[in-house]
Amino acid sequence: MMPDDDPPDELDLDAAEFVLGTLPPVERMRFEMRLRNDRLAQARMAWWQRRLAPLIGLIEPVEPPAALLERIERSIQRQGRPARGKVFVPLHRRIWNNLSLWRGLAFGGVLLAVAFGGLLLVRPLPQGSGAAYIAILDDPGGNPMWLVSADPASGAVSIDPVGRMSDGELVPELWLIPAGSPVPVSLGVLNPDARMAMALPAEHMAGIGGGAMLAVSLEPAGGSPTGRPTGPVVQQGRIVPYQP
Amino acid sequence: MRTADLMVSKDADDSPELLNDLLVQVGRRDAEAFRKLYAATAPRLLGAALRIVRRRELAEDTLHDAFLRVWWHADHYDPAKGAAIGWMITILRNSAINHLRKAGRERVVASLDADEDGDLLERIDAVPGVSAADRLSLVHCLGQLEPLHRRCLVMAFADGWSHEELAERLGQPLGTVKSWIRRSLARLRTCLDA
Repeated sequence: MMPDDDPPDELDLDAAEFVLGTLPPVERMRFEMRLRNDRLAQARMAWWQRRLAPLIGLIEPVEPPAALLERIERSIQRQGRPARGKVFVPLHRRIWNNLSLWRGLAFGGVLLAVAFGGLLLVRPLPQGSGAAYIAILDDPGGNPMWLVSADPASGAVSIDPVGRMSDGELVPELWLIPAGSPVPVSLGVLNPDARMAMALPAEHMAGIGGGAMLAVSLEPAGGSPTGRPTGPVVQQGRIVPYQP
Repeated sequence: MRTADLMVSKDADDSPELLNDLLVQVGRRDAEAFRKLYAATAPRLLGAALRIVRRRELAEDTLHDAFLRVWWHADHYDPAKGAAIGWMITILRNSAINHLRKAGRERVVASLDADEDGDLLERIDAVPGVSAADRLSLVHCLGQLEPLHRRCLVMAFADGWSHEELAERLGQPLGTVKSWIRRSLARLRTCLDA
């Protein structure tokens, strides 16, 4: 199930602002995620792409130097097709005791590839502290499943389901693994069908910077009975600063 | 007239299909189609990149990256879902925004000043891949907007400006600019759908 909590008009105006280029960074990323599976979002983006494309007629053409096409063709020959997915990560419970492994699994630099509808956007995430933090939680196949964004100033955390989870008895529970701490902190049970908002307690807010991770494990209905993950870890992602 | 524009000018206006077909062929790894697509679109796309990133070298890097993505991802392009030119503009603009974020944006004076706005609508040229019908209806519907709201949309598209940059440039509160954009887009949609 995809989230469907936005009224159609909001979705359409988000698509319009996405094409126009004014959608703010976190909303932009949320929309990109939505484009992966949501045919309505794809259709509205295509509509606005076509409708706004004539504006390029306002822009003076600039003749590229002859060498540029050769450079592009050389790059095509040199580089292979960029990988769409990420490394397969064998998830195992012992991973909880191995933070260096967690770190090693992180996005590998500051490039974050978000593939959707045939477009691949490679979006650099600036280093250093920013106004917002985000994390994209992937499944072992590299498919994004959750987009989490946090505003450290207010403690507001927003969680969007962006993939399809298989149905089952177990429920997804979100865990924060602060940098330098092997102890996961439960942030609660997630709703796979709708965007969720939560307030992160101040004592955890300090733990989200500096390489912290988020992970989702599958737990019995109501959440882990022990306060620690008891089921398999099915998605994970590193928290990174994000700013325009 | 530039040679690259000339190459497709016979078929230029009103023929999105030509570019759509080329992009589909590029998806089958047709290097010759790739060169034709490049010749038809690179000058406008380089112009668009330059407007956003402002520096020639950065604009050329932007175009380089965008065409690499076009090559590798053209096989995902579906002409039934939209025109090639719109698909390519989105890739180009994303590439430009990435380069800007890496390089840092220079503060520059607006290139579309108020006095330019009068003839703004007459200055929307025919571009290969954009149908004449789409161009004329956009010109008509932009003409229905308040001039200042229209400028907001046009500057956002052409210069890649954020809400904050538009607010600063126009000397308006941020909330006002955000609501102008949202309202203008809703009006534009109603008019374009009519």
